[in-house]
Amino acid sequence: MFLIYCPYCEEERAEEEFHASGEAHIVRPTDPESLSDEAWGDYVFFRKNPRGNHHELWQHTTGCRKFFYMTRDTATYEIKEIYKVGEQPKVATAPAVPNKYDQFSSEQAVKK
Amino acid sequence: MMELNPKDTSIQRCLSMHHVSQKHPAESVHYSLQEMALGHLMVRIPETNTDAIKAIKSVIGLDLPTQPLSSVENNHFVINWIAPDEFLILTADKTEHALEAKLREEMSGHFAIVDVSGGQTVLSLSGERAEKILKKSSTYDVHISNFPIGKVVTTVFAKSQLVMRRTGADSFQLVVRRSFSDYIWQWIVDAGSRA
Repeated sequence: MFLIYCPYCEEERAEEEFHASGEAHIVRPTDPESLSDEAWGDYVFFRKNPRGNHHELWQHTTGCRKFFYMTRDTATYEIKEIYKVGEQPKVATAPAVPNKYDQFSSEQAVKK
Repeated sequence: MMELNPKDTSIQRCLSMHHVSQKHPAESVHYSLQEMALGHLMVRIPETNTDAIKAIKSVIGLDLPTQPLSSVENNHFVINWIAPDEFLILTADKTEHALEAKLREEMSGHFAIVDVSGGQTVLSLSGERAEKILKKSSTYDVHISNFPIGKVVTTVFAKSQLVMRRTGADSFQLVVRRSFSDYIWQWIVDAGSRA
């Protein structure tokens, strides 16, 4: 069982109190009306899938119910840093690993 | 500070564990379990709204417990820290309406008060086996060195969730959802039946 530090409760709690909410720092487009379908699709559906450090949004669901950020190594599960909403990460993310689906989507884009 | 007296003592609050406590009585020399009829108010208030925080102090006579996982109490009220901007006030049965009205009158700016008395209830658990029952039920470390008197945590408990607060060396207050009350009661009675 993991112990995860909640920056609002200011202590470590069991993993089962938390919920992972996926990639962090996804910026909502300021002018959605002018976006292309592809750019909107990227915003809504496509997420980074790095091997290594990843910025994630977590929630202390059965505790204070606050959201916070975590930089976590997706290969080793090591938690590198935890920071509150409104703060910026100190540890950079690993580059996304290219895969066959990336290639597929760019081929589709060419056909359009 | 506000003095609150229940208006009509002839009407009893419907205790959600009345039936289950008759069917599965918590009769043990090792622990004691009772449902407490209390009024619950959930207050959301940002730390920047200092006027409203002062107003709470003038009505209740207590400073908001801004330190995480802490609680404060006097003869009439308990204020539990739930989140940095969220506090649970426990007051005597049937005084919650008067308290809410008084708080709304005194407080200003950005805040929210919700009467959640209908949605949750308080169990008082005490006795030599009380801490052991909690250890069987929750992943939280309830040893007195980590969970001293007055500390309040919201955590997982028996596959459900509750707010627990230590009130003495071997006494605790558990705030549970009413819809889980039968289950939680029977869980504690079962956990308390074996050492």
